[in-house]
Amino acid sequence: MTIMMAYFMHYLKSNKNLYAVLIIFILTGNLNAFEGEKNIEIKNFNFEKNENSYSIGFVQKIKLTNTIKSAINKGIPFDFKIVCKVFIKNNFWFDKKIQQVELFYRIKYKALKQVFEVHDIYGKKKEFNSLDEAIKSLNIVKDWDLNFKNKYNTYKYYVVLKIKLDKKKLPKPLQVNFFDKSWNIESRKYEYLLELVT
Amino acid sequence: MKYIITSVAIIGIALLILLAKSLSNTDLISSDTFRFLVALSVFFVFSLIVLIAIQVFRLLQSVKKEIIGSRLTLRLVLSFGLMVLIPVSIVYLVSVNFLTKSIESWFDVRVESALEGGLTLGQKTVDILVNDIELKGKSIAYSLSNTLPEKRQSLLIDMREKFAIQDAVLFNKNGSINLISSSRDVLMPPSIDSDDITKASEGYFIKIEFSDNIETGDKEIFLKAFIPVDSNKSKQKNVLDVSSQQQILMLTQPIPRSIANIAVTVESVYEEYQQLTYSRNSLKIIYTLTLTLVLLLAILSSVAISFILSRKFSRPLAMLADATKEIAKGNYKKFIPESGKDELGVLVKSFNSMTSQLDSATKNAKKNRKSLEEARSFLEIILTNLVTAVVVIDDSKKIRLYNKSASKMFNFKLGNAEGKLLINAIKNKKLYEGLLKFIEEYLENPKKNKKQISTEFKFELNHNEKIIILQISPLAEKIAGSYVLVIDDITMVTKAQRQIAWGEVARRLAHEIKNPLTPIQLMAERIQHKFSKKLNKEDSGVLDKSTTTIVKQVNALKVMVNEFAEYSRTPKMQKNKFNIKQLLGEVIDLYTSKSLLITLNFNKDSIFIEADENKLRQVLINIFDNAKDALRNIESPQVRVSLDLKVDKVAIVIQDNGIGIPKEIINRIFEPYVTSKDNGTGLGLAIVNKIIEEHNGTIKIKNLVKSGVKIIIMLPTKNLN
Repeated sequence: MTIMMAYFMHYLKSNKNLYAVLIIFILTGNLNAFEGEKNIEIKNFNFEKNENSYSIGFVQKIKLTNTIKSAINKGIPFDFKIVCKVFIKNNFWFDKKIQQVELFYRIKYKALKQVFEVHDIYGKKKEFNSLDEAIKSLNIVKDWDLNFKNKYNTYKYYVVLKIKLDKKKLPKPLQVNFFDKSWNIESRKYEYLLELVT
Repeated sequence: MKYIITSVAIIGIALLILLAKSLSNTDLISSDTFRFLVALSVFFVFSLIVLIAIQVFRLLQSVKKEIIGSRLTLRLVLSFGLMVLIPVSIVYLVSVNFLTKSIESWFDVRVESALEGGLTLGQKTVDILVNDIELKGKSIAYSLSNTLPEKRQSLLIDMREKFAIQDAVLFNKNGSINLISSSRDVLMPPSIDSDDITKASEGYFIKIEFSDNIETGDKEIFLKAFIPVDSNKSKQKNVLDVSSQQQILMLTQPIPRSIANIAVTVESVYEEYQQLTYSRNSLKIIYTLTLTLVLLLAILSSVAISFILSRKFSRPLAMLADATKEIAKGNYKKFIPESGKDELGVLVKSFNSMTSQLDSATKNAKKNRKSLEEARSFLEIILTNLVTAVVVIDDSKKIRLYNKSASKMFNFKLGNAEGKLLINAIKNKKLYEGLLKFIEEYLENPKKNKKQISTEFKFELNHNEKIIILQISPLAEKIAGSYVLVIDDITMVTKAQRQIAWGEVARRLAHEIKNPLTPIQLMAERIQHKFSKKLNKEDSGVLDKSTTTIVKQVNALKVMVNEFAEYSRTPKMQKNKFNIKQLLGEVIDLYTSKSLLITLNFNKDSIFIEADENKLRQVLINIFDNAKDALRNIESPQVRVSLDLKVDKVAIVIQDNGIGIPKEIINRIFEPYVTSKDNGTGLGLAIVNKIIEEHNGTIKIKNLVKSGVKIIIMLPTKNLN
């Protein structure tokens, strides 16, 4: 790594044009610096083989910021997305992605009913009198079918899990908010190795 | 560079248009694209800043180096920059202020309070209706539980009608409907959610359902009350329950449409308002950011373009200024490419025309100057090579021009005498006293100094007589106040004239005297012969003595006349090539004796020259004769002879240690009848001089410091004439 860095710096010094590339990198890269804290935690990951496929399950702990809690209470819907990617590990090249599945759930306060409406990952609509109850109802994800078969018997697989606020469903100004970190709610990337039994 | 700037500016503007579009049309451009566009705009802003910085740096460097046109470009750039900066900044500030206030104006406390009030009203209404249906449901359920199964249907209908309930359904826990009553004409059996059955089994609950009316499209809110019906009372009365299970009463009651519509609208507007409230800061930031990017790109693009425009405007002026400098240096070939038909184009055209005219005028002037210089140098060469001394002086007797001969004559230092007074420039003032006095008188006499006057001056220089003729004349009227002095050294001319005169005298004398001499001699001899024997001894002796004297004198006269004849005679020279060393040797041999030592100093065996050998022999004999005479009473007399070859001349130097030549006559020694000897005719050295001159040679004679004479003869080795 150090050698690579040194080589890169040497190349950077020798080629002034790369400063422009570096500026672009910093500019685009810095936008990611506005990412929020990792306030969704994944625990108790489990992996099972089904009849034709494989499924996973885990427990997620969502810690909402006060801003988001307040926004939910004011009736702004919040959609979350769980992204699961299955990769094959490669030693000498980039890892190969063989599957990507996504799940969505939503929390919304219905002011007239004065309940918190949850559309869970199974598409079911539930109502709760408090936000904590609503969030708690979302904690357990189980039997999530990854919908892939082990075609590559000899390879080691791993899954990457990430849960994040689906910003595309937020109002547009909040989607492009560059500076307010409180709207960035997501988990870090969790990686779990899968050793498949053929 | 201008293409880069233009491209960057155009791309920047395109980006801003996309940004504006993305803000107005959320469906068209996603949030990620918007972020990318913002990043790209920022990149282009930085690119423009870098480009402008480079341009500014280069411009400042140019100003520092004083490159023509750079200052003008700088001024134009500053002017353009200010012209853009001020209005755009004002527009920016007004826009940002307007925008911020506009966004703020959307959020009024009263609007929020009204919306909250409306929502609360809706909530309360729904609460009241929920409470109402709850009470009604409980009441019906109580009644049903105390009624026999066969009477329940009528009771249900009665009570539904009594409480104005839309639908009333009594069903088992397994979902099978036992009783149903509805106010509607057509009643579809309702589908009962198992979750609701489970939940109702634990206790009553009210469910609010939203739906859209398919026919009208209006929002509808239904209240559904699920109440378990206790059948214990009927059991106590030994009434067999139909299902023998706990039953659940479900009442469905819609909220009035007008209320439902308003409540749903208020809820929806409230949510949108809240969304806007939370988006307020983001909106401000996004719009301000977009506006700032617009401002920066507009200003930077304008400044960048101002560089291009400024250079375009200042280039012809810079080229003009540069060309003017070149013309000042004398380069009239500077041509500025013509651009456009505007005032600058006309100016450039006029300038080019002026330059070409100047060029042709300069060429003509150069040509004229060259011919003038040629004429002048021609005159200078003539003047320089003139043997005659020429001096131009002005009224104040200051030298304005003089030639080499004048410098030589008056001992001027070459190139230093110009501007000096003539009297100061002449080294030997005493010598030229008369000449200077004459010039002074001429200049001071207004009658004289309009005419050309010439006069002769004689003076002695180094014991030599020098004769010069001065001709003074005023120059043309155009250079009035200047006079030209033409001074000729006629010493040699006079000498030559004198020699010619002497030759003529000698020839006549020889002719006139020689003729009667022979008869005189013959007659004297005859007298002696005839009368000596007739006379007595004493008289005969006198006669003999007299006739002998006459014969002697006649012979002497003859010798003299012959010498005269020799001097005056100019026989044709018989030139041949011979060894001068050999000739010298022969002559030296003639004169070498015990009492006279003659040495010849010359290393080489021979020097051949073209000359008349006999005449040169005569010259050498004459010189050695004189040397012999001069050494007659000298102890250890000696003569040293040396020969020297100098390029195309041979130098013969003869030096003795004799008595030398008296100072009084040494300068005129080569003139006829000038001699220091008692019995000399004074023609020997005159003849020597004549022969040497006939050979285009020179002869010089000078006394040595101790004693003796040194004669230097220079003869050309090749004598064609």
